Amino acid sequence: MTPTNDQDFAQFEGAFDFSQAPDPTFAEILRRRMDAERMEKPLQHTTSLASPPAKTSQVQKPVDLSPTSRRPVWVAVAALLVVAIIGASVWKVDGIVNEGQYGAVPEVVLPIDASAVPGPDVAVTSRAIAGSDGLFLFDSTDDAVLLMAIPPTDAGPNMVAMDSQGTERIWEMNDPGLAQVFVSGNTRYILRSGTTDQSQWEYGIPTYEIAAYDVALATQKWSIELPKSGDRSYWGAIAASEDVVVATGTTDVAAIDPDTGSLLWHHQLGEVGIQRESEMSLLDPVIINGQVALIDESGWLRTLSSESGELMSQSAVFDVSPANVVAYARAFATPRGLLTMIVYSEGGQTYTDLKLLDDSLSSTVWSRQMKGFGAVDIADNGDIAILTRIFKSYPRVLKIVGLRSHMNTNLIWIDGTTGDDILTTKSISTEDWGSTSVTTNGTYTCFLAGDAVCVDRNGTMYHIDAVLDNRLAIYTDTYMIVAGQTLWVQREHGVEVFDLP
Amino acid sequence: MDIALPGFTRVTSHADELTTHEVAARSLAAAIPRIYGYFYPRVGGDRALAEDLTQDTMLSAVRSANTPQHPEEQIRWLYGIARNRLVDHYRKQGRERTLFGTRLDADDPVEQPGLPDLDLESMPVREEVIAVLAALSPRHQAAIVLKYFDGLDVVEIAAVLFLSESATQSLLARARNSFRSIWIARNGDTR
Repeated sequence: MTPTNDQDFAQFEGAFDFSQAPDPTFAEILRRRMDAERMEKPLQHTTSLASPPAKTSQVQKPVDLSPTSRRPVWVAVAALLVVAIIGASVWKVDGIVNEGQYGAVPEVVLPIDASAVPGPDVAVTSRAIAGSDGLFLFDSTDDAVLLMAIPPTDAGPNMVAMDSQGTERIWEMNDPGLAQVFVSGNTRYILRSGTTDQSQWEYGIPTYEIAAYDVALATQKWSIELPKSGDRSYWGAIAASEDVVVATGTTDVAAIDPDTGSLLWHHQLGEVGIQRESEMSLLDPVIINGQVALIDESGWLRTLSSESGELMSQSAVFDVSPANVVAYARAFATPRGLLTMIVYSEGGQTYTDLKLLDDSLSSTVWSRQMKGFGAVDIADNGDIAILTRIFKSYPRVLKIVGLRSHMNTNLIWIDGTTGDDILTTKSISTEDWGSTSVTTNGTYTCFLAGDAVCVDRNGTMYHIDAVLDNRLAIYTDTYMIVAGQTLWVQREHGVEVFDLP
Repeated sequence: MDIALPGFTRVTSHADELTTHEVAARSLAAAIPRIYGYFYPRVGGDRALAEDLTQDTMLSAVRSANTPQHPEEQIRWLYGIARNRLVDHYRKQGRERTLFGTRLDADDPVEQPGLPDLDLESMPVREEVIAVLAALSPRHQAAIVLKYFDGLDVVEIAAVLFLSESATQSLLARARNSFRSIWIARNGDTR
């Protein structure tokens, strides 16, 4: 779209520069705070305006109930003896017992609202990484429209948009080549394989295309076939902003004009300085501050110009040998900067490292390292929810006395601004690998570890009664997402929706 | 001596007994309605958000060692801080929505007719403009506010939104079209 006459907007100039009395209570509290600040350091501050303002709220101390926290050795020995005697698991409890600093925790059992179950042909997925096979996708808008994709089926839709309460279908469509979806503005971009003739797979890869749809109407705006650069060139990841749509594949990266659907640029990864030892995984693009950020499995972060694809910067965010990386490195655009993450193995132990880079991507705001990894989700406010899982095995002699190998799962809810824990939960033991999923919206964090549990920022936990039958645990891919005060859980018969208090 | 602070209020008839810093501090507090009034329309009438940004601005000002002493200079300086906070807000909003989706704003590719001449002295009309602004995406909001409310030129907007000039022109065109489209949807074509 080209610039047009804007005389009609000229009338706004100066029309909105007027005093307006705020709420008197707010004004009075603010005046007192200003007085307090002034009395404390009466206009002799050395703080420059460029510095961030001091914290206005206290970050809650973590509720570290993890058995991996430092405890006296005798406690561990005593616990082991108890277990050996009674043949039970120390941490195996019905749901979760929160004994944190908040004292007695009210536990709320949330009922299933059967009428809210959307139906058998819809499955919801979360933004959580773990367990995703790339076909399950999910997104929501802040107008509370939820977009869901389900595995391609012979009949019926594989993408459905519903309202946030799960009561009304807005539209649905069946897209057999569906590979990835990204929502930006009022447009939904779908990356899909353009060839539906299955026989083609024996002779090469399918063609890929990106199509843009109006998010509210499911009407297509444009589509473009992505370029091929060899027999091993698969496309599979997509990101979009108002200015550019970026797709990455096993060997390529390309940018599309979101308005016209025309190809802006296309490079092989090697051409922009990215040499990969393996093409088994994709580099998910992130668009931040007008640049395309890509982090590879060695922990190298590169930024490309969104206008030309030219390499703008590169740096090693993590010092991890690629041979030790067990899952991936990922980057997420957050309100606080670029969150980078890598999961790797060292000495038989899996670790997750996090680093938040500032807007310039040149300095680290905070960094964290934690043992284990299960799933992660990032809230719109930048909060991070990580489910760490650590497999615990015992020597044969201890198995004889009743100890069984199990999985210990901890939720760590991190303030995205400071990197501090908002809270952690007590370690949860499950006897099998089961499903794992975590979802957070900054108000609630819900996760799956045998059962489904939601916790709010105050540490109050809500036990989802519907999953006490453990049916969720038998599925390898079970997803959940919390949006507003609604928790969506994928079940074998569809989606169940729970209203949180 | 009776010190008048042009633009907002009188401080006190005993101001000659106050230190220069105290006068500056009091005039800062008196500027709260000006700063709140700056934010309120620019964030689409979201009172809570306008309060947050006002608080952020005022506390930053109090903490600063560079508070101008002259009231007129001070209010210009406060507006500068406020605009930086507003731009920070738009950037953050833009990033959040880029990652996790955004509201459904009317970004109609069809060229929309221009706005009618509006009686912007009328409070209901101003509130309607604010309501339409609230329905825009954060990027479109930023473009309209910075260009037409605050009078920045394209080069300045491009710099604060990290865009090229051509991308900024394109963004402005889309933002105007969205605004017009929503205006017509809410009020009809009243030219």
